[in-house]
Amino acid sequence: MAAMRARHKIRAPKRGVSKKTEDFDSIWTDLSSFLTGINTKEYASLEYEDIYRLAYKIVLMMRAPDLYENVKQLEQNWLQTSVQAIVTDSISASLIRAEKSTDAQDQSSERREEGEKFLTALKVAWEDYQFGMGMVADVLLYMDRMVRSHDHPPIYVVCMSLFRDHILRSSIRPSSNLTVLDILESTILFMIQLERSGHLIERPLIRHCIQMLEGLYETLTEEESSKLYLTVFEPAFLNTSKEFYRAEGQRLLEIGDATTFCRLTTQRISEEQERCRFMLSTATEPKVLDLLDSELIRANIEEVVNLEGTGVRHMLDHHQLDGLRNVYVLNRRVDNKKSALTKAVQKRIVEMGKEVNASSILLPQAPAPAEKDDESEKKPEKAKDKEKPQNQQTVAAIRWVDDVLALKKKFDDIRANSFSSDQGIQASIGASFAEFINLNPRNSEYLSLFFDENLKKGIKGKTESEVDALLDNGITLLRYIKDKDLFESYYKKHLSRRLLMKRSASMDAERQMISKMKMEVGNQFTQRLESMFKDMTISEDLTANYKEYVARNGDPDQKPVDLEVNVLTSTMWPMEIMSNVKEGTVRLPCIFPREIDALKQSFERFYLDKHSGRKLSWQANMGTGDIRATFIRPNGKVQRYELNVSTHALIILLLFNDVPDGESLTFDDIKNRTLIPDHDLIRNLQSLAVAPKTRVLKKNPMSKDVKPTDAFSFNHEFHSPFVKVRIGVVSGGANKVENKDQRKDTEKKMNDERNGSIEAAIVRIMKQRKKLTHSQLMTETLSQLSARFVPDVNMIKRRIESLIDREYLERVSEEPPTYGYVA
Amino acid sequence: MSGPTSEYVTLVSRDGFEFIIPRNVACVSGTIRRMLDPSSKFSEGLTGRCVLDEFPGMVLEKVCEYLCYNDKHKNDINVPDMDIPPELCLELLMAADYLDV
Amino acid sequence: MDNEIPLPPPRRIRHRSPAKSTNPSTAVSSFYRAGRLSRFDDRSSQPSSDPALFSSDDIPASGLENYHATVSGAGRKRRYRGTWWGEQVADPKRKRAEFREKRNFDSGVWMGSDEPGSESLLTSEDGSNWGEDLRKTVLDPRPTGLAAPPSMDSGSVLLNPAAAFQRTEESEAQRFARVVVGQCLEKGQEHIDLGGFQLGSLPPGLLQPLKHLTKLPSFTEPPATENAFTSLQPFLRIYLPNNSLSALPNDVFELNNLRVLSLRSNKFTEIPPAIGRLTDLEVLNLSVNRLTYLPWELLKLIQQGKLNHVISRPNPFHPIEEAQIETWHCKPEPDSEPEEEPEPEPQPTTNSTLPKMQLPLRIHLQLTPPPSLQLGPDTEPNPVWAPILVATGPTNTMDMDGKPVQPTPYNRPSETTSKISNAPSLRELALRAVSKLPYLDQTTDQELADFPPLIVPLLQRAREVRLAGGQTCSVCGREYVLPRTEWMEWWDISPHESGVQLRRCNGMLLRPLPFRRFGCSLSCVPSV
Repeated sequence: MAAMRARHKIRAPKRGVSKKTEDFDSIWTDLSSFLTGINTKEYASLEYEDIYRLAYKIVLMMRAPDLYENVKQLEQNWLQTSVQAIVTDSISASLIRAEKSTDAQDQSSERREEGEKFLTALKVAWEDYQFGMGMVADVLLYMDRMVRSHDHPPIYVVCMSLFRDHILRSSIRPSSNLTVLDILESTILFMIQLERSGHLIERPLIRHCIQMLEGLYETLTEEESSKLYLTVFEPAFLNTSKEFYRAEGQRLLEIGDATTFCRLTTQRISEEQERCRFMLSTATEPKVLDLLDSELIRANIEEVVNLEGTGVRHMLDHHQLDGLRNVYVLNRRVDNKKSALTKAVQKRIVEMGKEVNASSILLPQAPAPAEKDDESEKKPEKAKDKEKPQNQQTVAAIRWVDDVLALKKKFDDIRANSFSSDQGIQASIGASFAEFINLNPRNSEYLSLFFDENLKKGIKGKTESEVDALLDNGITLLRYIKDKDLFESYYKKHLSRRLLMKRSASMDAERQMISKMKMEVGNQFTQRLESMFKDMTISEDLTANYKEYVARNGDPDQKPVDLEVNVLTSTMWPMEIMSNVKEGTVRLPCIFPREIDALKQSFERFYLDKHSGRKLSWQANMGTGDIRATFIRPNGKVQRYELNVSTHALIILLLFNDVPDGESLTFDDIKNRTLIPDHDLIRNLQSLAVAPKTRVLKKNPMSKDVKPTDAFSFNHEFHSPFVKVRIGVVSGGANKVENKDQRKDTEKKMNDERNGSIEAAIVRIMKQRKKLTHSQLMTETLSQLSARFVPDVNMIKRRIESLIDREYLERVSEEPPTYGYVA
Repeated sequence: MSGPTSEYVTLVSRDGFEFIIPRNVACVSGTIRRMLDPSSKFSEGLTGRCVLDEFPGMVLEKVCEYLCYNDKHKNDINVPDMDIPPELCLELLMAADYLDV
Repeated sequence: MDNEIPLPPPRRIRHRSPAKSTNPSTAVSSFYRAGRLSRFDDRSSQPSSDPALFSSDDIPASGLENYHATVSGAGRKRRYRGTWWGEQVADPKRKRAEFREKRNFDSGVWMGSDEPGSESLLTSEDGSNWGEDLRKTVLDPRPTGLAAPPSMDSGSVLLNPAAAFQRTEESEAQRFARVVVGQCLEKGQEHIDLGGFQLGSLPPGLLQPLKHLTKLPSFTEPPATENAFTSLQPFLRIYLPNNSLSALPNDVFELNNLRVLSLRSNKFTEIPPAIGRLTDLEVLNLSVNRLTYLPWELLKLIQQGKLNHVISRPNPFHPIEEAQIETWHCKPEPDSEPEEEPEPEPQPTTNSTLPKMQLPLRIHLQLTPPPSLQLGPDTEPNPVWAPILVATGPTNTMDMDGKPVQPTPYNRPSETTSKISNAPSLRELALRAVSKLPYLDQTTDQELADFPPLIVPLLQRAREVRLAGGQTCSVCGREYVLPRTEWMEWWDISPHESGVQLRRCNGMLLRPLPFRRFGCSLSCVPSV
């Protein structure tokens, strides 16, 4: 320390090896011989430290830039004098000739051989040079650190650019314009074409050449984007690929088989993926696949989908899930909406749906003439054979629903298995189903019948989840039905029958159904249906209460008649049940026999006591009654039967209590004494006197039709194997397809109801908005009503007119037509 | 104790002192790392013996100490200082520059 | 003994007040014309001007000493005799408080007093114009006889340390400055005003003697009362405003008794981290310079030292809105309730590209303990007073030569990048040892030239660091020579930006300033 302080200065430490006189040139002479040794691969006794120290010394002389330039010059000379010749010599004349063509076919084997020779020569030259430069850069590390501060690129980078310029970019022959790079590019492309046409090629060799192109840059700053691979090779590769796949598309189409097309295309995709991964660059993969998509798939997919005999239609019909999956995958590659496939599927669905519609119309035509006879014949048997469908049309209705559901299941299946449960396709399938379902004008009725049938019988013996699935299926169809209000009215009608006649197999299932509908269509839709259920429950309580009431206050003398009452809120239940008006004539209430009338009055007293101000109207046509009838056989034996008959039949039968044996009542007598409407009377008399199994009355003359002149008498010979006999009313109790008149009737009612809904909607909108143009009002009205039905535009127009007439609305302006609300 | 794959390498000073240290420790130095690069063909890489004519044993010893120090603490958060004797600090600065450490 | 209580001295208008120098309204309008307002953080609620406006009086601790301070040469310093209220009349705090009451915070009103400097900063990049502008706009307080010396060449002392030994040519201004300093020393005057001298640089050694400045005891006020036994520890204040300084000689940082330093209206582009050595510093004025960031060491002075008043605006600080941010430490309130501010700024706003983060940032903090109980900033780190870290920028790393690491794709297949080690490089270790060598600071560049060229800058750096009194790592606290990491941190120090400690309150706008921070090793990085 003392010695150092004496110096009082900081001096650079003395160097050990600086004895011999050194100048730049002599050091460079040594150094250059080492570097040449690296180039010529004479590595023996090549000591890193020696060379590094030489470079270090030069840098200390502040001659680093000179060294840098000298090294650059040395490497350039090396490339020009030695390497270049080796590379160009390996290029044969045929390679030069074929430069412009990448066609795999002409002189393929010769060209291939020579191409491999050339690629090998280039690969070796490159790898040797790259390796050597790695060593050069290592020993010149100190120089690099020094020149870096002068903004020179590292020596390695410069040397790489020398290879680019003096080998790849040099012309192959002194006279030629072609460069080594041109030949390299065409040769590799040629090899790839060979591979595409099914030949095996020397992949690792090409991989090495590609790596070379990836390791060289256009610029000294070596940006990722300036790789020779990206600037030179890739564009050329994509170009040839494009042409290739355009031709390939044509070729495959000519084969004319959709399955083959899909299979080969899928294969091409994976080939290209593999090629990019193992031979070219992963960065190229998306680009070439893009190209493949557009040239091979996008251009052809529509034709492929629609290929006659092998296309999507064929696949759908033959349930070729794999084929469909291939089409789907290909279509998805080029089109997010998969429109080609979707269109084909939709078309097929509508076609198949129309077939289903047609068959449901065709079917009932055949047994139609026999229908009437059938009915009267079959009714009595029904007690025995409940499983037998009621008539052909109902069968057709249910079959229609079943067919639609089967179709739906088929397509759901295809969607799940082949279309990856694609959302978009699901929507399209749904749209197509809606399309053909709504082509069937009786869809609502059929569907309601389907539910009716199932809720009455179909669900018997089924597990909860099966019932659930069944109802869900039905609900799915409901989703597609446009006129939900029509469905509602049918459903209501059928439901009311089920409820009143206690035909439902399971109340749980009924309620489940309601809640499902509520989920699907909305609260408003099920409101009335629910209140029907409520009426039923309340009525049960009421009946029970009434029984207590009778027990307390009843006249002990009189034989009590059990009464079970359903009090129905008139607005909630179907019109045809409630209505006392038929074809414009007010129907008078029928005259009840004494016993019944007393009962009726007693109940009315009880009910009005509880709910004053209400009006009860008795619907005899909907009720049933149990009656014990005594038949005195000619041999004096007494046979008792319990008859379960409709209320009307009950009234009729009670008349005969007052008729002495052997005497009869005429039709008119009965009519006058009961005031039962003709229609109902005829039906009831038919079931009492005509139906073979339940002939409690004798008719004179014996015929199937009931005429006003017919006379009826009590049939003491009535016989039945059972003690309890149920006597149904002909064509009254069952839910089945409406005939034309009924249909018209329903439609008319529907229209009335719709008119009401439309008006209500219009008034609601206008009350809120005060003033609206015609088109706005139309849109809003349509959107408000769409959940229930799709109203006809003319219908709305008429309603608007009508509202204007009734001074709910007024015309505010003509241009554009605008309405105002009149408060 | 030598060869391209051996775990230890030998560093030799100008005045003939030999220091045998683990290869990965020696490779803390950028220069020595390149010297020993097995993929290159330099004789040091083949023999595992590096003659560093620039430095006397005294300096090289300290360099080796540093290489070990660096390797030992390369992942530490709070690295303690290594003691550098003032009389050697300039020599070491030169060595650090030469060896790129 | 004049027992009569004298009347309070009449309020004198200070002729050095920059506020008087220009018409504020023209200042404002001219500023609109400048149109690059956003560079300057005009939201500053604080006037940038020195507390020197009230300089002699407003330092609380100075009250007593000041009371009996000797009358000194230029008479620029006001001296009070008489009662407490005599002083109170001019109490700047009082005045400042009124001033604050009268205006909304962040009213967007540009203080006229800032205008001259800022405008010239905006419009003129030319150093000589700068000086000209200043001379035109700032009234020179000195008598004509002592007129400002001609502006001189501003050779940087710091950039060329060799100049420290070449006191060859010294400008007139520098000589004049020497005279002033000499006078102060002689008279024991602790207030050194070198404002407006057109100094391009401070000659080395100019301020060094002030380290030993001793206050003369005051005997002029007989009889000696208790008050007379005041500390002789000087309350050193150095004012260097309105010069053309871009660097400070290292000897400034030796003045560890320096209390007040004003560098207002100069040409500083950065403040060296060595400022952290002025541990007694209480007031620092850096306004109207060319600073784009502050040294992180200032924060330490605020947090751990006595620094309680930093006037740093306006300066072209790198705005946080445009900065690259790695981590946000303060999230803005999701729904800042509509407040009266910020007021609509009339000037065309240039921040069309909004930052990724919604600004302004508002502070919302738990104000516990009640701020009223807080007497000063130095008790506890308290969100009410303490600087708040708002954001951290990305970390840049440097290689072993101290050069920024460039992400160049060095496309060498054989090149295996060595694992980055947290240990200091041998170069750094050697340099640390070198910087402790006793004779380093006297080594000339010529002598250094014998070293390998790559080492020379390292040794020069070591010498610089040595001259600056060493530097310590902002993370681990070690002394180091070559930084390996560097990053920006944005801190809000608004309570310390006004002379009186203005405590934060909820919903207050955060106005973060950029602080540059260095680490000595690759493990000295921002803590997450």
